[in-house]
Order: sequence, then structure tokens, then C-alpha cells
Amino acid sequence: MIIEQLVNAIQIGSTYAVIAIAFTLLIGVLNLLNFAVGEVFMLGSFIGLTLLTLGLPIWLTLLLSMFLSGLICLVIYYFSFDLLKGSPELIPLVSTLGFSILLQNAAGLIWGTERQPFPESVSSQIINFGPIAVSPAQIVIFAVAIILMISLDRFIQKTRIGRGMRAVAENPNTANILGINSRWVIIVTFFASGMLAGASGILFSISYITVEPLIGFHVGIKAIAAMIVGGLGNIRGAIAGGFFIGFLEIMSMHFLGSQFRDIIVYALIFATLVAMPQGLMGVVQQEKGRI
Amino acid sequence: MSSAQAPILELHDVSKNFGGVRAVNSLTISMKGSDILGLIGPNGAGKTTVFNLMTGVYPLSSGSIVFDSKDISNLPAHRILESGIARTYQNIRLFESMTVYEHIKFGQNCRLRSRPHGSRRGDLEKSLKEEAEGILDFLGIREQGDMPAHSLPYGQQRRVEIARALASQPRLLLLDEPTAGMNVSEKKEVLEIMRKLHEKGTAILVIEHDMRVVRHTCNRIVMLNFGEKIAEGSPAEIYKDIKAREVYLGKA
Amino acid sequence: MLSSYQEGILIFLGINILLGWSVYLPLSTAQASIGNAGFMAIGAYISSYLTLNVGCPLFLAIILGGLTASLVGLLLGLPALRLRGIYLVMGTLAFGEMVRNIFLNWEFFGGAYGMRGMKGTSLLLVYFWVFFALFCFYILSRSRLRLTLDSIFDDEVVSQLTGTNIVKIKVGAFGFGALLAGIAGGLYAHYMRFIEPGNFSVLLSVYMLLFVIFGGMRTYWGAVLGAAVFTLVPEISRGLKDYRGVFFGGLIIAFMILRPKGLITRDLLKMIFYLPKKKDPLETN
Repeated sequence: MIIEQLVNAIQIGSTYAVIAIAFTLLIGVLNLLNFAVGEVFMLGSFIGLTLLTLGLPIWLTLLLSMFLSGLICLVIYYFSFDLLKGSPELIPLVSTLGFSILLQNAAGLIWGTERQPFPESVSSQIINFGPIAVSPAQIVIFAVAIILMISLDRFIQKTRIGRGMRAVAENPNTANILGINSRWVIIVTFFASGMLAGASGILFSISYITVEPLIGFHVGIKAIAAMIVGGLGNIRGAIAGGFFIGFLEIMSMHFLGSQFRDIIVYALIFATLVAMPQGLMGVVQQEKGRI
Repeated sequence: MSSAQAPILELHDVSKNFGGVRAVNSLTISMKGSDILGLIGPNGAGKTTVFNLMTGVYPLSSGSIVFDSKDISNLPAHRILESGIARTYQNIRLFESMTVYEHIKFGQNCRLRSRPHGSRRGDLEKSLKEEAEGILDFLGIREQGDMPAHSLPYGQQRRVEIARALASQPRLLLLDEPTAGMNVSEKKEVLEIMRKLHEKGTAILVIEHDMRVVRHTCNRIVMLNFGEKIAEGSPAEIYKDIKAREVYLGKA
Repeated sequence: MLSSYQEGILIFLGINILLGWSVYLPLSTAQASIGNAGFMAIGAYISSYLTLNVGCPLFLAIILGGLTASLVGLLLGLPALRLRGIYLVMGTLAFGEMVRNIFLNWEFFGGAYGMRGMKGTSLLLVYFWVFFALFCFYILSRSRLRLTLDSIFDDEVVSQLTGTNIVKIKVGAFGFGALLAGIAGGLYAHYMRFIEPGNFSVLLSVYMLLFVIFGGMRTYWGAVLGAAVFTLVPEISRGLKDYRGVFFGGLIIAFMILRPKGLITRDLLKMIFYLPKKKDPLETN
């Protein structure tokens, strides 16, 4: 029984980890909290719904959905970031709030506001491997999540643009002086963030077999919780946080009942921000004393 | 009695670490109320860090700082200001929303807090207003009083910063590169301001790169490098010392 | 005389103005909060409980609801000091949602069913509070405290080094903001006659922030204008029906591009109010 819950926790945790990374990329590289990432997640799901309904195989759906989600995030980049260069921190954040509202309502207009079923694309039939009982769906979700995380890690460590992202994250001015084209770096960051959010949306819908416009907000909060607990602006932290939140969610549902699930998440965000702002794995951003 | 001779400021073995970097190392400085002390040294020597430690921007790693016989080592920044130390900044930091006059008015806020209990607020406000106007005159920025401070030319902005610092009636004024970016005549004006403040009894601790400024104002100099004191004395002594170093080390 | 529909709009306007001010106050110390719906909820529930179960007179109940909210605000304000910018936004978001969830699961306050049966809010009562707060803001704007708030907004570190007790001021701003939201909550509950946790969502908190950002965040008139626009425009945009949300989102995006400082800026106020009296100092340059 516990093993089954553990498997569930890993399944949902890996999904949360991916969307937490989507948020984290933008915070780490640009110090931007993009509220609309949750909505990109949601749109990824809906795009997946449409593509599957049209008969595309799941792997193609995933890839196309990721690509389109990346494009949507680029639109957000243009209106909420590029056009607002030089503004104080709060302004782009509010702009992404605007996108969040716009995208949520747009999804409702296009697909309807009701919760809809997500076509079963991968088998949810439980197979027994000795003591462990998993379904192909769970394996696929976990595998895809891991592949995405590893790919991102390789990208950031090994490619030129990836190194550019790290440079801009550390110090945008120095990065510019060193000749890094920060405009391209930023565009790639937004695109990657969108792709990951969209992928996470598909994975989530495979898990819970539903889609609805409001899901962006709820999962967005969990992703933020994951980031905070794991350590803001820090990809490893986001991954750790994602799994932690998934674990916490499954365990609290199992032992306490689902109504406490959300309170625990919020209380956790709060407690972590207060007591341990650096999260489990992060480094506190020392802003005080910049003279 | 002779409080003019007792040191007004003492740093005892002050050190500051940032992670693995020792920015200030066992620094001991003593300064009298009648001094204009020059703090010199190459960039990165730790001079501004010393200012930051004195004003409570960050805590000391070890050692202590005593001002006017009070240990201010780990006091919060606003209490240090109330004790009588005010400062200016290497890069000018004025308040964007305020006019020149408002900077001074704001700088006087701490005086209202520490006013004697018997006095009436209205009377104090009146005398503060007169004082503020006096400060504007003293620094030659009376005309600009109602202008947004950030719209002024650079030289006047520096003076607004000094005005804001003077508003709290400090016993010790910390000036961080007050003549940076100025031409010769502007620098002379700053020298004049420092001289007049000295006459009024304000102790001044100044970080400077321009040795001419240092020679004309400071009666004592402390030279830092890599966070350590490497020389101390009157301008003449230091000058000889530098010359001696240059001979040995070939203009390092 | 006013129809009850028109009266309702004005009451909502008054409540929204108070809510806008509840965000304006901490924002003037550079603390952006999207959790004020939580404070509003506290005020709403506490005051409702007092009038329904303890027979407390409405005026007092609203004050007590507000004070409870402000107490929580002060408690929140202290750890909030550690959070800057986006981190504070996240923390207040979590706070607001936590409060909503707590009320959702607390049977004492009705749980998901909420509380019903409150009444008594009148136009007079709402605007008593609005004008009282307006008066306080007016006095504040001409005081030394205003300079202190500005100094924190412009450059917190230098403000501290020039004598400001940051803790007192920032936490105080948080607490007073919570007080305003709590009072607004009490007025809201006793007008709607029915409250449930869903009323106090993040979206409401976001709206409050938007009142201030639209209207102008450096002056207390900004919240007034923002609240007015947000209260009246939905009435006007009824024709858009289902497209309202999309329109609204797009409006926010456009506004951040075109006029991020908000409609009423200090420069604008100076131009309107000071030009006839004094020569604009900027023109002498």
C-alpha cells in the first residue's frame, strides 16, 4: 500500500518538478516571477486534448504541444518583458498577471470552462513487478520528466546559450560586457520555460485524466511552493521541491483527507519563506548592504 | 574638560569576512573630535567597507567600534545615526521622490525623536525649519530648494547629499569620495565646505583618491591596502612614506 | 433618491476604495501584497460572528473585525520584512490562500457553507469610513511620515542609514493596510448578507493591487481612481459578456506597456494643483 502511494508521489512529484523548473528558469535568469506559467501549463494540456482528439499519437502530441507552449511563452516574453525593459520589478509581474487572466479566460472561450476528460493515451493498467505495482502511464510520466530534466541540465551545462543563461543569471551586466547576446539568451529561456510548462501539462493530464482552465492557477501555486521549499532560482532545488510537494500531497491526502492538502501546501510556503528563505538547497540572495 | 583631546572614534581590531574573503583585517584606528582624517588606498582596499561597518550596514566579524565613549559595534543603522554619525556615498544616492529641501527635512526626523520631553513640537519644527534653511545657505543650494533633487547637476547633487547628512547634526561626518567626478573649482568648493565644518567642530572622516584634496584638508591620514592599515600619520609623514615605498618597490 | 441598484454600486465603490488603500499603504513602502483578501476575510468573518452570535452593534463589530485583521497583519509584517519583491508577492499569495483555506475547513465559521444573515451596512456607514480614511491620508501626505515612507520606497538602505526605523514603519504599514482591508471586509459582509470563503480569493487580492497600479501607486488618490474605474467599467462592459475576462487581461497588459506609473502620478497632481500658485520649478532649468 505504501509502495503504491510512493509510486504515486513520484509520479506527481516529477510532474510538479518539471513545471517548477519552468518557473525557476525565469526567476533564476531574469528575476521574473511569471504568473502566466501556470496558464501555459494549462494550455499545454488543452492543446494536447485537441491534438489527441484529432488522432495524433501521444509522442507527437507531446512534442507539438511543447513547441506551441514555447511559442505562447514567447508572446508573453514580448509583451510582458521585452516591451517593458527597464521597468521596476513589479510592472512585468503585473503584466504576467494580466496574461494569466487573459489566457485563463481565452481557454474557457475556446474549449469551455467545464472540466473535461483527457483521452487515455497511455495505459493506466497496473502491472506488477514483484512488490512494485506500476502502470505504463506512470512509467512514461516519470521517464519523460527525467528525460526533460536531464536534457535541460545538459543544455545549460554544455551549450553556448546554456552557459549564457548561467552568466546572465549571475550578473546581467557582466554578461553583456563579455559579449553574450543576452537578448537571445532571454528568448531561449522563455521558450524553454514554455516548453517545460506545456510538457508538464500533458503529463499532469495523463495522470489525472482531466483538463480544465482553472488548473493552471492551482498547479501554479504548487509549483511556486516547490520552488520556495526547494530553493528559489535554483533548478536542483526546484526538482527537489517538486518531488517534496508531490510526496507531501499524496501523503496528506492518504492520511488526512484531501481538504487539508492545500492548507499544508500554503502553510509550507509560508513557513519556508519565513524560517528558511534559502529553501532546502538554495542560497540566500543577499540584497541588503549593496553600497 | 578636555573632551576635544579624548578620541571621538576608536576602531579596535575590527575585522570583516565575506564568505572566505577577509575584506577588513584587524583594523585599529583612533580619531579625535578635532581631526579631519583621510582614508586612502587603492580601489578594493576596504575603505567603503569600513564606512559600512561603522554605520551598521553589516555586522562586524570581530573587534569593536567605540564612538563618543559608546560601543556602537552592533547597533542597528538608525541608532548609529542617532548617536551622531552621518555619511555620504560613493555613488550618489538621493531619493527620487524628494526635493532638495525635503531631503534635509527628512534628515532631521531623528532630531524629533530624540527631543527633550518638555519641549513643544511646534517650537522644535520652527527651529528645524530655520536650521534647514541655514543648511541650504551653507551649501549654496538655497535656490534649488524646491527642485526635485535628482534633476540637479552632479556637483549640486553631491551637496544635497552632504546637506542631508548635516540635517541630523552629526558629530562625525563620513564622506565617501566627495570630490569624485568634479572639476578643480568644484573640488575647491568642497574643500571650503569641509574646512567650515571643521571650524564648527564636526569631525570628518573622508575617503579620497585625489591626494591634493587630502593634503589640503586632512591633518591625519590612514592608508589601507587589502583591508589592512599599512601606514598612518600626518600628510607630510605619509608623503615621505609613499616616496620611500616607491623607491623600494618602484612605484607599485 | 437613489435606486437600490445605484446605492449598491456606490457601496461597492466605497468598499473597493478602502481595499485599494489597504494595498496602497504597504506598497508605499515597497511591499507588494497580493494577500489582502485574507485580511478582508478575517474582518468579514469576525464582524459577522460578533453581530450574529454576540449581539454586538455593527459599528463596533466592524472595528473589532478590522483590529483582528490588523493584529494578524502585524504578525505577518514581521517575517515579511525578510522577503523582497517577488518573494513577498509569493509569501502574501500563500498567506491569502491559507486564510481562505482555513475558513473553508473551519466549521465554526460555517466552512464551505459560509455565514449568512448579516445586515446593516448603509451608504452612510461605508462613506463614513471612506472619508475618515481619506482625511487620515490627507494628513499623512503633509506630514514627515510621508517623507519617511517615500524614503523607504526610493532607497530603503539609505533610509535606514538616515535614521529610519525600518521595522516599525514597514510592519506598521502592513498592519494598517490590514486594518483597512478588515474594515472593508466587515462592511462587505453586512451588505452582501452572506459570505463564503470563495469570495476572498487571490483574484480579489490581485484586483486590489490593480486598483492602485492603474490609478497611480505613489498617491492615495490613485486607489480612489482605480477603484472607481474597476467598479464602474464592469457595469459598462456588460455588453462584452463572455469576452470580459479576455478584455480585462488584455487591458492590464496594455496598461503596463503604455502607462505603468498609473493614471494619477505625482507630477500630474503637481501640474494640476500647483501650477496656478507657484511657478513650476522644473521650468526654470
